[in-house]
Amino acid sequence: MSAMNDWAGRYRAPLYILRRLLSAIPTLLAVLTVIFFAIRTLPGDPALAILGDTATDAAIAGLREKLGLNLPVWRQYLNFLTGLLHGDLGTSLVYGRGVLSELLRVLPYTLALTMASILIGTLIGVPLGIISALHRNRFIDYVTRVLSLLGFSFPVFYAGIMLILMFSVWLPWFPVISSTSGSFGDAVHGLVLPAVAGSLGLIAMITRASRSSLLEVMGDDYIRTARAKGLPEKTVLYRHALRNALIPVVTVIGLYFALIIGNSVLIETVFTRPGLGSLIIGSLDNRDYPMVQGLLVAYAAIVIVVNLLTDLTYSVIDPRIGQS
Amino acid sequence: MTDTVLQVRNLTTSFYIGGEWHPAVRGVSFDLARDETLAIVGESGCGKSVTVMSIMRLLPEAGSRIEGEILLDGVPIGTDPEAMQKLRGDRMAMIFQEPMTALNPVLRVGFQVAEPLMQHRGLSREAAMEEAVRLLELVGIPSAKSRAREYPHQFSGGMRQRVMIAMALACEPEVLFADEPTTALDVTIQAQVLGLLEDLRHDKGMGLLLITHSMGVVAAVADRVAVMYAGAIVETGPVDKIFAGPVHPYTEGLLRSIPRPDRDAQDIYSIPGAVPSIDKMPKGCRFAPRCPLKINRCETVDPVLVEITPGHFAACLVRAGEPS
Repeated sequence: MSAMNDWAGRYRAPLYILRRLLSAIPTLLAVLTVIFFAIRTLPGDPALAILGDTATDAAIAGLREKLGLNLPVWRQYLNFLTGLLHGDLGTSLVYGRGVLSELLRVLPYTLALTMASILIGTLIGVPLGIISALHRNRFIDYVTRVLSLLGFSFPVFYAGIMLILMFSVWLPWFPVISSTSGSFGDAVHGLVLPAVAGSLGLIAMITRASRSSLLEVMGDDYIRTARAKGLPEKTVLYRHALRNALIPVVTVIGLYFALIIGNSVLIETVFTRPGLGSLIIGSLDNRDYPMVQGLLVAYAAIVIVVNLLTDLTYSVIDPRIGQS
Repeated sequence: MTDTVLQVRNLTTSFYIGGEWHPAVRGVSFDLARDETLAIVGESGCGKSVTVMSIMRLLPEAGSRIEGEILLDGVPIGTDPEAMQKLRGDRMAMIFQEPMTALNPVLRVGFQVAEPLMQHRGLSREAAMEEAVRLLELVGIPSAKSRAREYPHQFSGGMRQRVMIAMALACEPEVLFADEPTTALDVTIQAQVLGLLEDLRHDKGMGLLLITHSMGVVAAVADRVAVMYAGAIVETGPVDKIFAGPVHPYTEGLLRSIPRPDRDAQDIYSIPGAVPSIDKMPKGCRFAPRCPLKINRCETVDPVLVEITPGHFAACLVRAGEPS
């Protein structure tokens, strides 16, 4: 092996990560620009909205000055970007505190919710997909396919309400409102129903994706090779087929992450949970523009980071990725 | 013959197509001795691959039916799936046509070679990996120790086929099936791989069943040849006899269609017509519609193999006649 190859081999993963990180920068910049101008096109004057109809013209003009709204738009845009570079997302008009600190306070709740949903979705969806594929066109496959269709078509807020009704009201197993204080155990206990509500669609999606992916992989040449080696069918499935079949499933989870995080807004509202979702709903109600803007930036950043993580997961599963 | 390792008797493999069973392989019988290369030659779709896949029991169970008798070392095999799984990769091994897709892309090459050893010999992972490196050296892979840790996409086509050979040889099988092992390779690599197969066959005293559509490959490496047409053997015998005096008009056609440097490309002979499809087989001799020697009787009587000289058989009413 040549020295060049050796070098490329050793630094393959870090180089790949670096390249992906760099390529995320233009994406993030584009998203920030869209968010900035979208907020500016919202109807109404923020200063007027904050102070109310009874405010004097002088007070409104003063606030506009304070918020920097009198500056030309390009200056506001530059200020917005330089602020971001310094980690300054502005100050909440309602809480009077930094947007960033408020955001970081509730972020763990949303992350816990989405991660728990993905975990449940994967732990149930992948085995269901395998069972379905192995019993292709038999009874259990039909049942799984009908259930996953149901999972798809169930609106997440409705699922949430039904879960509360069943497991909090009729059967008092879980709290109606997720607790924000208390022990770790309490937090997990409160997380169960919201996470289940968030995982239903995901289970359906992962089941479908892993079923079709496994069926496809089982027809591949290397599966025939594995059988020709005399490996038992279980080894063929778990060692040779499954890892290849999971590559498209990771894609699906990555692609639908934006949907999952969108659903978290509904779930946090239904379960009265703190999080980015309930914060953005509250901020929209209160016309807390800096907060809304900061939250949108946060959402965009999360989705970009998750896409990055998805790509990195590929390079762990599939040695061909990150080569060229 | 005492050194016969594989006997195939009246092998018939049918597929369920459009509500009916259609034989893709019809009454195929042959013997394979230790340290012998038998080539099965024929056009695409003549049933040569299906023959080998039937012996290995690698066809999907649904929609296929295998009849006839197969003896390995005089012992009937093939009825018990579990016993077959133990034979595959141990006493009978197989090399496939497409080295690009026949190796699992997400597993290290060394591990894939080591797998049959762990499965059939009960070797520990470490011991099997050591043996895999030795096998990779045996098939001529340079710096085998470091290359064993690489993935298939880091190998060229020829090198991958060497890996496939190493994998097939791992447990020193008595019979090696090679299904078009050089078709997907560059011409310069083809000769190397064929030479390697021949050497290893001789060193290990294996019976090698080589499937090919190339008369050139047959001439280069085979001891005996069986010419298949539309699912049946139409002529079989020692290579020199058949090349010197082909009896069946189909064999004759195949030999005449080998490109030769002393003739122009447009003068290359091609057999008129095409192989009949599996659900539209003619009655009588299946080659009759394409045969220049056809007589009326060919359209009603299916010819059987008749011995012409010792060891040389052909199935042609016109040239070989009918058994008395």
